Amino acid sequence: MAQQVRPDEISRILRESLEQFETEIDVYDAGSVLQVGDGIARVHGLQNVMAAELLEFPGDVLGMALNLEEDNVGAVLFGDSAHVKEGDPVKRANRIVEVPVGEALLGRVVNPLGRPLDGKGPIETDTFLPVERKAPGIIDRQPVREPMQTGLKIVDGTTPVGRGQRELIIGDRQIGKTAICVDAIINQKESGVRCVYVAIGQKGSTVAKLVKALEDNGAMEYTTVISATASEPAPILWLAPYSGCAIAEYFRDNGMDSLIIYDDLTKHAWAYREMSLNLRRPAGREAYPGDVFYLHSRLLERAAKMSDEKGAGSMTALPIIETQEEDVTTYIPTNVWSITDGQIIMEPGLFYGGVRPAVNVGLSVSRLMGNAQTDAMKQVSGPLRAELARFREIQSFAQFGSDQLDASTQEQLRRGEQLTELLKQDQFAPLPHWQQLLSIFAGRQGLCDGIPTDEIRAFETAMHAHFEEHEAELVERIETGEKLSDEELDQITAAIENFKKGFQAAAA
Amino acid sequence: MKHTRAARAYAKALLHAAKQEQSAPRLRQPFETLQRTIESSEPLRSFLANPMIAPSAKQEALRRLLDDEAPPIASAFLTLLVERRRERELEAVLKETLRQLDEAEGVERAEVVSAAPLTERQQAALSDALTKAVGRRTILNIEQDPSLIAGFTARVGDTVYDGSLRTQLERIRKTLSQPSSA
Repeated sequence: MAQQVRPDEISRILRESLEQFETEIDVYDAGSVLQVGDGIARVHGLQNVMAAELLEFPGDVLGMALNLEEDNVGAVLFGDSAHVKEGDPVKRANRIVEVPVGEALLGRVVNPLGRPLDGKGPIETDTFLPVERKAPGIIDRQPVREPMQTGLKIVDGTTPVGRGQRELIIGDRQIGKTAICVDAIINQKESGVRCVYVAIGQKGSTVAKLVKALEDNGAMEYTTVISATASEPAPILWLAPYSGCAIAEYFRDNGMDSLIIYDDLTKHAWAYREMSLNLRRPAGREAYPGDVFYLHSRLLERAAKMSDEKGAGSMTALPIIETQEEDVTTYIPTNVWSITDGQIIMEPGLFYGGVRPAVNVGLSVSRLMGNAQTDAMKQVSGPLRAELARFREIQSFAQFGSDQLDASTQEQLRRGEQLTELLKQDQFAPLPHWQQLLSIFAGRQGLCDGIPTDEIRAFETAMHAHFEEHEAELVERIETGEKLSDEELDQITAAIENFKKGFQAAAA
Repeated sequence: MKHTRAARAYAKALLHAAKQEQSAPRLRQPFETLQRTIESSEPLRSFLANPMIAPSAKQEALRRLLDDEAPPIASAFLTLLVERRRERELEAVLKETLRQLDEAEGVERAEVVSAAPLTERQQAALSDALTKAVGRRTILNIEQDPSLIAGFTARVGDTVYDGSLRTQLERIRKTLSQPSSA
């Protein structure tokens, strides 16, 4: 559309179209609208319509047949229901709802129907996938075995995510859930993992800010953003994760790795509840319909590590759930919790206490643990989670005064503070594997002893720079991810000790 | 709409009974007449819908409305319908009965809307073409609507055969307004 449209071209297209249409008679199945409202239409006729089939309403409004009843069809509208009136004809589109997929989607912002929202022109791809697809079966899968590095020390060290895993991120609003995911996307620059970010029911400005952040960090090139903002009707919000999933699945099924983020599934469940109640489906607990578990389980089951015969591609899912007042025992959080392979729990207390990312290490779990880490990381960070959890426990009663504590407890407290400090990380600054490993190693081996707590982060940054410059061989060795021998560990220890002397001398 | 289920059951029962005494085809004529009468008379509709009027009066009125050719089962059926207080669904029942009769006889009804009046030859040709397309004998029900501009649409069951200029212009509009990648 960018180039000038010439009048003769228009008349040529018109002529061609006219010639083509002259002999053609449209044959289609049609019904008529009985009732419309709340983004829902009841349609009479359409006896042979398929479940989840696309319907065409007048005024270019699309819909999807959901309730197939004896004498009418309940459909949701993916557009403005103000354009649809009673008695309007409804056409069957003879296809299931599908979205464009493929490399052409990378770098784009689209709506859940695959239409571009970024003003960068049409999406040029011939490949489409249905939005609702069955998850791969058991034979087509294999266990998760490679790490999906998020670039965050606390995640990769204590609750690692593997390629093909589903790890829930849960916590109250505004404490960095999205930040973790954005960092994980930014960290895929070198890894070749394609990313899909699905924004469900968020503010338009928030999505715009996120796209901007991704662009600024050069992450948009390998990322697709599906945006269904809060102003969209509920059916669009409901569709969003499934379309995003189809886009990510294309990569999974073609031997590539993909990462998808659903931000967030709480709003998704709300949208589905609204839709279901309007469709007059019976309400259950918290007024959610009976199949709200299936709503999320079928979505998250589509994340998988494919078998070698199927190209060994993978799709990792990071669903986000927002809680109210840290209550994780409500319906939707417990549902998604039980579907995923682990959870990262974020706490406002930590966040406001300056521990960012505000991950509660004690409660966060990755059920794959070692399988989602490199051997070297496994070796170095093994007991880190337990140590930190114990520290948080001691810390809570040490608040009443630490004078009477025995020496070993005091030592644990000190080490815990150091580790906590070392695991803090700024936003948009994911660290490569070797830097994470060095920091965790230094913290656990007590190599930071003697450095004041408030200087630890400066020490860490300087240490990374020092290694990059002077210890290239060791860095390369760590980056292979293979298990480190005792000599190699000694080498690293010596190098850090050596650097520490210089650092302390410079500070003094 | 909400009455269709009851209508279906009544129609099915009537046809079943009529078939046994071989009078099913003879129901068509009186029922079509009755359907037209009700459709065209608002007072009759409110008369039937009014719960204050005694069922016996309604039964008597309906019996008189049936023409003399009607098989006895027709008037018995109407009496029963009123007795069961389903007279308000009479229209739906009649429609459903006629539809089931069509189905049993292998006849399809096509709702044809044309922009201009169709000549007899055109009607015959259209009927033949639709019969071939549907695979059953098709009877046309023709209406006119100048807003189609030219051509016609024919609707058999849920399937619409759309040869109207209006739809084609709409499609051209859509094709042209879509950014083509060519």
